[in-house]
Amino acid sequence: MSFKPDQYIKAKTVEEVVALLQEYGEEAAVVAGGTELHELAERGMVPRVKKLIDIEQLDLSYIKNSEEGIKIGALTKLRNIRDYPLFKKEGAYTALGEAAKILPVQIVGLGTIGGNICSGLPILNLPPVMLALDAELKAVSAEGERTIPASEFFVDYFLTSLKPDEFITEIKIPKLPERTGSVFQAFKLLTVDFPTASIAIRVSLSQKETCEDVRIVFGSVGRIPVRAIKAERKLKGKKLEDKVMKEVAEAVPEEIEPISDLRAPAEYRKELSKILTESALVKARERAMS
Amino acid sequence: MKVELNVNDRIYEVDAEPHETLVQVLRDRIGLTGTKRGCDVGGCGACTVLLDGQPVYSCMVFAARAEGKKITTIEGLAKNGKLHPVQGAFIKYGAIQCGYCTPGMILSAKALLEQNPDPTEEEVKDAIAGNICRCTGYVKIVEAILAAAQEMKKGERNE
Amino acid sequence: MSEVKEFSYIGKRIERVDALPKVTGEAKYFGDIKLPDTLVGKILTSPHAHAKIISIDTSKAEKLPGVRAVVTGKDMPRTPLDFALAQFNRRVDLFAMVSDKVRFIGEEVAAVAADSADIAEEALSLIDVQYEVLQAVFDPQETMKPGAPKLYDEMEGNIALYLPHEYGDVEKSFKEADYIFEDEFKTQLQYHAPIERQGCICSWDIQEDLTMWTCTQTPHLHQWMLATVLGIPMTKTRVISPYVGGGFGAKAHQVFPFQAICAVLAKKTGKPVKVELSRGEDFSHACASLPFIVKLKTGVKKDGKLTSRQIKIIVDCGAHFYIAAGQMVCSIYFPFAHLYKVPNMKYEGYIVYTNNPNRAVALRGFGTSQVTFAIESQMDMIAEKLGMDPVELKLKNLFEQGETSMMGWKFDSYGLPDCIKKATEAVNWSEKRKEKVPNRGVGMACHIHASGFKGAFGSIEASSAFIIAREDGSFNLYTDFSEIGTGVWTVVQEIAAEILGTRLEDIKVIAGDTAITPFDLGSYASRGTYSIGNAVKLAATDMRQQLFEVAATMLEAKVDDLEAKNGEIYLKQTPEKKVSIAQVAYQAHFGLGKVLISKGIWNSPAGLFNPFTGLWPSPGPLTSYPFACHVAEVEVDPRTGKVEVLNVAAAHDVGYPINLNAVEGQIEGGVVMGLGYALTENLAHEDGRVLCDDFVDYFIRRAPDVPEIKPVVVTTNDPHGPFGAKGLGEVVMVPTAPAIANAIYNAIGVRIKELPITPDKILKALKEKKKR
Repeated sequence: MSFKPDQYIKAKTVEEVVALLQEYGEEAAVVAGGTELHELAERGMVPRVKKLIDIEQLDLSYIKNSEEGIKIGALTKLRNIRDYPLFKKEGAYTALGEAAKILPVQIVGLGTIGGNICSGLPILNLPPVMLALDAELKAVSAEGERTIPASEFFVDYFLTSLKPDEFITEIKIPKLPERTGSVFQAFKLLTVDFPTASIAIRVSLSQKETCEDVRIVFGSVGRIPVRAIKAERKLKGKKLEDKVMKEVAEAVPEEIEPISDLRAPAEYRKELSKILTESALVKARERAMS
Repeated sequence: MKVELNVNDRIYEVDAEPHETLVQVLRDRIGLTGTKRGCDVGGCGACTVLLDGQPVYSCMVFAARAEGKKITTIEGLAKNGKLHPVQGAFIKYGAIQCGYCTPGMILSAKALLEQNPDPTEEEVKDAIAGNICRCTGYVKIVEAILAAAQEMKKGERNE
Repeated sequence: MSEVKEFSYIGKRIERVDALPKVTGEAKYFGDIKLPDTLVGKILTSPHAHAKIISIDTSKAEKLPGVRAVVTGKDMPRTPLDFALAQFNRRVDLFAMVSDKVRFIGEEVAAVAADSADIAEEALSLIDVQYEVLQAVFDPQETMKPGAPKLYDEMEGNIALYLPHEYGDVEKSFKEADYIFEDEFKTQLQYHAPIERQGCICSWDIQEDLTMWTCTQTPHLHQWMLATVLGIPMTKTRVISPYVGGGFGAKAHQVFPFQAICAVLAKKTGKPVKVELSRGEDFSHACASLPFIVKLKTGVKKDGKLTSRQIKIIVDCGAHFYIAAGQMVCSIYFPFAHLYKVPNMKYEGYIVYTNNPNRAVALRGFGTSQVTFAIESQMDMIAEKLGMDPVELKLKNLFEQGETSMMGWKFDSYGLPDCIKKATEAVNWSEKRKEKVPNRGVGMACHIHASGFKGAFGSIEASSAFIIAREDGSFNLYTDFSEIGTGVWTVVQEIAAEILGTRLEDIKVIAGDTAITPFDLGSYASRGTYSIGNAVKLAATDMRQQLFEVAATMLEAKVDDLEAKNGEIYLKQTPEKKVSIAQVAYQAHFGLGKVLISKGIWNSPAGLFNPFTGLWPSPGPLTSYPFACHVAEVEVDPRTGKVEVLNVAAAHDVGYPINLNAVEGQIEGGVVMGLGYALTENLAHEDGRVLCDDFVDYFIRRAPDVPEIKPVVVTTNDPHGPFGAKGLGEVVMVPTAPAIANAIYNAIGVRIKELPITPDKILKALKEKKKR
């Protein structure tokens, strides 16, 4: 195995991590849950990593809900996100709870929200949800903090816009307007599998129940999560009637360029994108109106 | 580097490389071969151990990460020669064939029953979703776990 | 000896002898064995699908500190690894390592033994192999055409074997048929996916005796083949195979190149060498259950009587035969020729070489999964056309109990009608077919399989065992039948205990070491219970006689007056007059100076195939044919094409179930593996490269997706099997896929003839159906 780090460092503070990243840059890997790092290591994709920085002891496991929005520490375990009452409630943030409902137990207990997002894998559940909820990621380095909107975070397979000397400490979800509903749905061949296609939708309705704001984001159909902007425009200002939602769903396939792979041909993924859009919009409407 | 691990209530001090995983240290350095290595990428579940009671893929946990935590492997289940109810149920209900998935499967089941003493069949299936069995079709495994739950509820805990 | 009427152990849910070591982690598989100073062996494989090896420079690798040996083809034995099947295959094509040419991606080219895995891997990267890349061929039909790139220069083309035969007059009988059905079916590569990966440890001792620890289904075959290939006596070759973490055919019949290479590395270094395949390598190594192209033509009369059948099979065996021929032969003779009675049959079987990574080791079903899928899908289509219930159509074309087929196969126990009846009842077949619910359907399929198969290795289809009575009345039972999970060690314990009249715990099974156990062909062809069961029955019967003779003297009775149960031998007429087996054993040794050893050798009284006539002498290649019927209920989502399996009833004629838990466990496991074959599993490859290297990319069913499975045991008391038992291990998986395909058709009216039946295929078919 070409993965041969020479040091395993258990960091205790954010400052310590920042200093290590400044010194080692690409030669360092941050270890949160560790699940993604192991996969990459097994496949020989991280040969340059010499320092493992274990951040488990950092105080980054929290969910804080306030008037400004929700702040989630990057080390918050997926199972804690799954079980957080606000994310279980039918409403604006349900997509988070649904996306964190992952099997198997061995992964959901170890995996963290930070790791799930920073992997740069569009087949994981949380990345499309981040875009759907307009999340912002707090990146910390020796130069200080910066906020990266989710829409600018995902660059390519295994590539995020994080610089080698940065790491994510927190995810901020803005306070979403009233009458907002969000949904995460995935089509999988089997219960324990990565999605063949997934969708994260957020719909905010006006008092008249017309669509004021909408995000339709797909996972597993591109190198990064893909937002169907043209389809979103078809919905804006309109009531979410069946006919309208169907029209929006039909518009979606031309905005995505899925690949054919072991799970499905590209054509089938396009078909799924329509089906998921319709089904998720119905649910989002329900949640927005509740 | 020196790593101190608490495995089945016993402290082991081992010399491990920074990248060594828990399964490697358990099997090759400590010599506890009950935990199996099926794939090394968290795909099959044969390497499942409990970390502070939580099932994890030991092929995905750095040995150093496991320091300071309570590690339970299959060898730590039976106490003073008395089998854990899950072990006993697996034997009684014919839930074992080739046995390679068995250690991981039993630990996932034990963890479930400690968190959820009265699971439904669906909850049992979800709890072992991370453990592949190629031999049994899972039917008797699920049966055994449900039976063990009943037995444990009757208060015959193996403590 | 007459069969025991009321059984103490036979037919019960007996706890497995290997359960306790397995639940506590004590059970040692080969990979758990630790020997001091073991080196790590790693193998360099070809990155090209077809290329000439121009040169191999190992000098840099040899100089790397920590490298103890580097070997290439020239260091390997000359004897081919497939010598045992040469007569049948009519050629040999498998050597421990190639020197001149590579023919698939993954073919072994060089190997190293080093102090650690890291050093071994680095050494591999330092081996410089110069290749001249040749044109490769991947399509099994293209490879048959003249002008296709040749894999073997000494051959005319890439057709490795062509087997045709005709029975009756097919052309004439097609003309007499009222309907003719002609369909093509395609199947995929399946991976056994045992949770234990393959590997071995080899060690030569000071006397140059070789011990190989490995996971094998056939330790004696391994011992014999290893000794032959290495050119050493079998007395200097020992194969130790303790517990095996699943086989399904992957670990059977054959010394694999990696094993021979490991032995050579160990000899060269004078140290133990361990070669363990990574999961990715294990995926590549076991590309079995070969993809078949099946062209099936069937003629039938209006009343449902089949008149004629013709089949053309193209089997892509990749670059080496392995046991492809056996798979093809079984696929023809089991489902094609003997699932139904057809008076006129013709077959053409082609085994073709390609540069695909297929490695034709055995896989559960042994070729029959492919053809049964075709046969049973087509029978469903025939039934629909004739307006008949598939049950009715099948019952019209079955054999009869006691009948001998035109090829010589005799069915002394024939539970297929019963299997059909019970499986369909278990799912409420008639009701569900009549009252059709939208998007839901039920489908059924049947199968016939083996309990061993004589002919793969000449006249031997044998198992043997011996029993030693200890001075205290406990027994050791020696067998080298591999315990790969089927429960056979428990079955033999039950059989011995039942016949001897002891308690189960008085019998300790000793197995897993060729140095101390007698010959057994091993665990394949579903032969376990039948073959070693019969051998143990003979050994136990002999031992019982010996015990009774001693007991008779102690009880002043005749042997025929005695009976045994629960560790005691007593007079039938006056059971209070008894003596314990412990006392008998003691008396035998220390009172009479008798040492109590018995043996049992069972060679199946089956016949050998006559390739010229295409016939067997009765009863055929085996005596006891197991049967099965699977009925599946599915619900299909018409928007996504996703299939939800609601329940599966699996009725199996097992002759008699020796251990009920083991029988049900095999059925349940087989159905789930069959569901994988039907719906999700596909060992995909492209341009010769295997695309799956872990379980993320290979879709195996886990607990949340297992439907309700109803195993139904049908007993027919086969006269040849021990206590009436027949084979089970493979038949459990085969009918599931066609049952699912037929259920899908019943649910939404689309017929998919290519496995696996994935949602996109269903959706595509639904769209095409709408257009029409």
